[in-house]
Amino acid sequence: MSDDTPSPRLEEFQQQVDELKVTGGRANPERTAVTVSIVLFVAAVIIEIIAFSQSSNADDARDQTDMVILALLGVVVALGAVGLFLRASLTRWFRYWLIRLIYEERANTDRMVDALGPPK
Amino acid sequence: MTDQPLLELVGIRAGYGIIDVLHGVDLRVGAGQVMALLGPNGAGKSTTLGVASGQIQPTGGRLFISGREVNGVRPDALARVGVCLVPEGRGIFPNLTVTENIRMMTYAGVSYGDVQDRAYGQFPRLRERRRQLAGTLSGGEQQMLAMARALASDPALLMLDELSMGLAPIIVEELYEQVADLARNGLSILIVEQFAQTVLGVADVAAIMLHGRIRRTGPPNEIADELTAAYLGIESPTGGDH
Repeated sequence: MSDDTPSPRLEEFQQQVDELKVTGGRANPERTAVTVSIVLFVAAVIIEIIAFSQSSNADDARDQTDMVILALLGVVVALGAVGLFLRASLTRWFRYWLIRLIYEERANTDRMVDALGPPK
Repeated sequence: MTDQPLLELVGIRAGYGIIDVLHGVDLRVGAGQVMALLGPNGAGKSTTLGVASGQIQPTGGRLFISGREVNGVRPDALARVGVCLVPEGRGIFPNLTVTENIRMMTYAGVSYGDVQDRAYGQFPRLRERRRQLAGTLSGGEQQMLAMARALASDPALLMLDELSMGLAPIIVEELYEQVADLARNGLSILIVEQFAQTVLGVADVAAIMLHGRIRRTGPPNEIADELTAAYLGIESPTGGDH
């Protein structure tokens, strides 16, 4: 055990830890992204419904133009939501495949080592 | 020894996908201290090491390294500063030779000569096996190689996951002699083990983990007395401090 004075290695370690970049951390960011994308898509549908109902009730062409712009905004939000959903889903899927490949490779190596027989 | 722990987990919750494994883990490893984390299969010991090494992001709680909160830090950044994990099973590349495995540790910015000196100095047997494929080494030699790789980066905190798994008792004893030697040189070590007898002889403090929580922390001799009861799910007469 050491005394009260930290060793040079510990001092260096402390300094390196202080310099670390820390993001705060998020567990399973893809799950959050999928949830956000679903919420955005629902919001986009609501925007479209509002735009449709308001434009139907508007007599003035300028009001209708406003609603067309709102509808376009809804389409943009929907496209963004779909993009985010695809991106997060594909990331989860590829991560799963990567882990599966690593485990299969490890199992293959174990089989080869077993086939080679006991160590000399 | 300074009061500030080198590693501290406060109320850590973590798991895999929708399954929570850790339900509020509190753990402290002091500078120069050897802690044994014991518990049955599925208690959450390896997940705790995963969180401590930055490989698993906690869903709740705080992770401190040397007094600084480091939630969200990248595991490779932690490894570079000296938080090193020897994982369960083998932490080696089985289809590379011993020398190639050791050479891989130069990523940490340590020269190849220094890496070799540290590895072969601590484990002379590896020098004899340096041209052999790592996967064809015996279990004990593979663990030595895994430890040599970890020590090559000059860690400040070493975490060992199930060092004794699948090894003969005499080999386990030999490996723990090396661990005791490292501890004498001031390295902080967190050891996870399912079977406790050998590790309790090396540890300064021990903790029992059950169902994703630290059930009891204390001196190794006290923990040894309560271990069987804890494994069998019998309430300890002395109770727990968590």
